[in-house]
Amino acid sequence: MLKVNLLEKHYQSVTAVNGLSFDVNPGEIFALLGPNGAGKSSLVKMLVGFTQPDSGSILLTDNSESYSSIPSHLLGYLPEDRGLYPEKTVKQNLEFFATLHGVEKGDFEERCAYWLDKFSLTSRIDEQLKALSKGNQQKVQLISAVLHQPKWVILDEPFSGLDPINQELVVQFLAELKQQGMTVILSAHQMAMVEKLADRVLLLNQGTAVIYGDLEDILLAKQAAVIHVRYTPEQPLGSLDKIKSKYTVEAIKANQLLVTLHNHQTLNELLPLLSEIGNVVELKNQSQTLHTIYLNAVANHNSESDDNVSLDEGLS
Amino acid sequence: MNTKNSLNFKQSWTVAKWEFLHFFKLKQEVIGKLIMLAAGLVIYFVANKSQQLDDVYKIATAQSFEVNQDIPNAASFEFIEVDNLQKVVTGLTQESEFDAVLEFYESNSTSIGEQMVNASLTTAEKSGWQNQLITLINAEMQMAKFEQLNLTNEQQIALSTPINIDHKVLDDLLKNEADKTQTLTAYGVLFLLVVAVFGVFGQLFVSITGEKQNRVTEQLMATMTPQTWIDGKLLGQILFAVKTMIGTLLSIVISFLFFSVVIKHQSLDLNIINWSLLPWLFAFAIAGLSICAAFMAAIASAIDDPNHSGKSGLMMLPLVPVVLTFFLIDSPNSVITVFLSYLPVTSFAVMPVRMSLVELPIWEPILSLILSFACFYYFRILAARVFKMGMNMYGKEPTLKDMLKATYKG
Repeated sequence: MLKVNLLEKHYQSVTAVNGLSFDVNPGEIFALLGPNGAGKSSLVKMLVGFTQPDSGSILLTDNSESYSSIPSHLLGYLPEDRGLYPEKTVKQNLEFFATLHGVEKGDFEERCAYWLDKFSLTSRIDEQLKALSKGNQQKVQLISAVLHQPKWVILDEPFSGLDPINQELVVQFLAELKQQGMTVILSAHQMAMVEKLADRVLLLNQGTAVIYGDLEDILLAKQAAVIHVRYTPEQPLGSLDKIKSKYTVEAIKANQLLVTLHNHQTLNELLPLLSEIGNVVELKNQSQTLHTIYLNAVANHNSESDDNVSLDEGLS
Repeated sequence: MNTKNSLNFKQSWTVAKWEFLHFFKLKQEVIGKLIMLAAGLVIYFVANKSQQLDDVYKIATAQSFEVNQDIPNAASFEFIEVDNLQKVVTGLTQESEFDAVLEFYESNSTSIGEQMVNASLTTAEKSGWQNQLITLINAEMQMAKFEQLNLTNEQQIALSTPINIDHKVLDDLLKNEADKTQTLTAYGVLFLLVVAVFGVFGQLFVSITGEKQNRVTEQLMATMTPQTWIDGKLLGQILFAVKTMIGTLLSIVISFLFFSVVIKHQSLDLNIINWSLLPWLFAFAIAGLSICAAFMAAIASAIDDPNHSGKSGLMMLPLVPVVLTFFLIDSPNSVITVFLSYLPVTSFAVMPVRMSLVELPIWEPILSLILSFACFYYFRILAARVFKMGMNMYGKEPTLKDMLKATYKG
């Protein structure tokens, strides 16, 4: 179990991480989301022990041992700024990192063959890394991060620079890591991929947690809320006032509405009101994807922060 | 704790091997060594051949000259009496049945009042067999002289044994001219050190900044501590530098021997190097290399963009003591030289040269070596601290002030 409590990190006048608290459970895929500059990289650097927090704590417990960051023997890491040795072959690169992690020769050969096969790179094993495409180089680096079968894997932007087919391969790769019992902390901007994989998410903005929790719960809570309605209007035109008095309504096109249901409101209550304005020809659950949840949450958080700044400025 | 140390050592060793092999080009090494081997074989065969004297050489003399057949190589020379030596001399440069002309002439010795016989040997060109001939003539003449003087066997042995003169210079206990090979060896090792330091400079620069440019550093740091990484890097570079020094030394020795034995037909002489001093000099060279490498690694770690950084020049600072040594050579016992021979950042260059010029008690170089390795121990810690700080400042190059701060705070 990894427990992060009231973590703070400042770089001169910039607050990178601001009182952050969260847990990561063993065996889960935990997604770190957030716009550029949200504090994800600063958080990751503290998790892997590159930097120390200014205040707060990180506590990792493993087999009755406690650590203040994820120790190297338990960690597989794919940094955001990544690369291997371009002049060396795929095998030499992989063997170097495996040896550094104390992997025996026999185990290396077996695992190397397994993962290269998974990524369709077996035939490229003796080629120089620089001869491979960027995407393939990235796959080699992913393999190098897990050859020693670490308990904790931190992958910073594993999907960036990959085409959709390779992104799917990485999704399968991560799913397999989870299956093998590894805990994966994933930082990514590809919400569709995160939605497929993550058990829990932490959305960061300006160094603080904006959304944190079980991904399924978050999606469920948001997905039921918005209904896309298409209708043919009655003559004479019915009024939207009744609906607007109970629901948040947004007219998006002619004869199309987005109706947001608030707590405990149901479609049963909405349908009679809709029939008053015309014939409902289509009702669609306007599923909010993680992508829209992310955008809305960040936008809301930014506007709240701006309001607070204005308030502070007004007070001063 | 022991398991952790053992893992750190294994990781350092893995990095050291990786670093060494990164710059070790097997094909080039094999070709280089084969060339050296071929040169060595040529030297051996030529030297051996010149000792064996397969032919019988005909030597023209004005009077009858016979040598004792017990003297080594006596059978390889036939001394033939001729009437006109001058004619033979003229014919030596053309096709001639004679290989040399030997002339004896008498002179009066002023010191002991005895009649002395001298000789001159004329040949068309220089060759190894002539040294054997001169040795043979000397031996024969000496025996003849002993017989003439009617000396006993004991007297003959006593006269044949050279007198050893132990020349002690009281002034500063400076070593005498006989120890010239030590000075030559010390300078030779200094030269090798310069070669090795330049090599380490280039390789560390390429290696560390290359890893930063290729963005390997962060992943490396997730597998081991900065200290483990820097230790491995230094070990690999030092081993490579030692290989370079030994390789260069062998090349120089073989080239020298090739020139003297094969080209100039001189005898095989390995006494150009003071072999007993060599281990000391290598110990200092390794200490010096280690300090230089640690210093250079620290500077290279702080370079973010090798094309635009102003810090690259700083990496050459460790060469200053070597240059300084050449200016201090005339006063090996001055206060400043003695001080610099203990100061770790200069001692690796100054102490070996002092050792070659001055009789020193053994504790002096030992103390100097201990101080040097202690300094290296501390320097490698500082280098790791600077590296860690540099790594966390991706895209921004630390200033000298940042670096100094990092060395204090860790």
